[in-house]
Amino acid sequence: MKQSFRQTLKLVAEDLGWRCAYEHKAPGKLVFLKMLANPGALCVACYRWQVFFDSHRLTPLGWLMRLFSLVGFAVSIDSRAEIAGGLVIIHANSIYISEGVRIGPQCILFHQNWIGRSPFPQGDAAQARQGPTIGARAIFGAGACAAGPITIGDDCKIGVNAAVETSFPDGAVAFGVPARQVAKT
Amino acid sequence: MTTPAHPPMTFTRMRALIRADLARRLVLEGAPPTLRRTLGLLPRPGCAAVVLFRLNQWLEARRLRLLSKLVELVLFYWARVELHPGAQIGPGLVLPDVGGVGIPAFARIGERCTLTGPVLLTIGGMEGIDLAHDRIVLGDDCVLGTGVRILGAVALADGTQVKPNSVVITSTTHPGTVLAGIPARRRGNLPLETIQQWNPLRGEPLSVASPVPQKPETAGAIA
Repeated sequence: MKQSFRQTLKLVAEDLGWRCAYEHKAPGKLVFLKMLANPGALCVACYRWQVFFDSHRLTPLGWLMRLFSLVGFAVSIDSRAEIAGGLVIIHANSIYISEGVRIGPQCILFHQNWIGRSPFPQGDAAQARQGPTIGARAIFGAGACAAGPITIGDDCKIGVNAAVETSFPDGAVAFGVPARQVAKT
Repeated sequence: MTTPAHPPMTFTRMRALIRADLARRLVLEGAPPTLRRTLGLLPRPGCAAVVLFRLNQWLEARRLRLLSKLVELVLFYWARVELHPGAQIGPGLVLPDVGGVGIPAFARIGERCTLTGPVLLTIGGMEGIDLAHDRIVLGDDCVLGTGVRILGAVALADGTQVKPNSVVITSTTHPGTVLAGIPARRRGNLPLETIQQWNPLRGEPLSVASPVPQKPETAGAIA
């Protein structure tokens, strides 16, 4: 997937715009600039530029971006993960998103989220290589993780410290270890 | 599963352990074992943590306490990992690139273990605990998911798979047990071959071209 300079700017603006909506602030250029001092917003912006650099054969720069967010905030997002605009990271701390993950628009992550391919043996090879596919406007509580070839629908809420290893329909509220659906929004 | 006390850390042993760790990492990443790829791994926090941890153990054995403390600080700030040099960890340890791993001095970890994401091994509470004898023992080929906490003097058998966000407070004796939940209960069993042929980093079976290094060339130095 080739991501142009203009697309990258647009994605960063989308992320910051959705973050403004979350924080009840009126979006604007000055607010956006101020927001980049926030670790979470900075990490997301780093990820967007990392994708840009990686798709333009500027891999060392992309690597630098990843290293910055990794050593600074322990946030590691693979540039091969497909994340739509409007990603908000509330607390930038120990967030890992591996390749093969697809995340819909306007997703909110708190801290210590781990979204990636399952480290445990399951299924056949082609299936195992996929990560979770997450719908639009999902919210991950602190410490929640999703692993394996699963599908999480739109408007899902994944509770604090939930370990999601099965698919959930639209609007589900998942909780527990291993996660079960406890409510529907 | 029996983990006898490791011999004292010498420079040769440290080098052999680091070599085994990096070799397993290269296999899991699917990279050819060239010098270039090995050096390319080193700045990755997970690999730097393992290398610095082994170095730290050697410094500790040489009683260079101040240097070892400095290395511990670098280890913490670079990789957010707290590995006590007193912990005995077998060859082939693979740490993730992200998240804090806390391993205390009373941990005994077997060969080819993978710890993903924030993992904490600790003896919670001091009642009925004898720090001179009680250990947290992990067998060979164990995989701990993200956010796993192991509390108390627990022994896990070879190939135990602990699912994410579980809290383990009881021991397992059967190889290949799958644990999940708070507190963790047995949810199934996997054959040891499946576990050994699975790549926990990439989430796919190991390719035939890169089998698990069962006996590295430096096995004599490690044992």
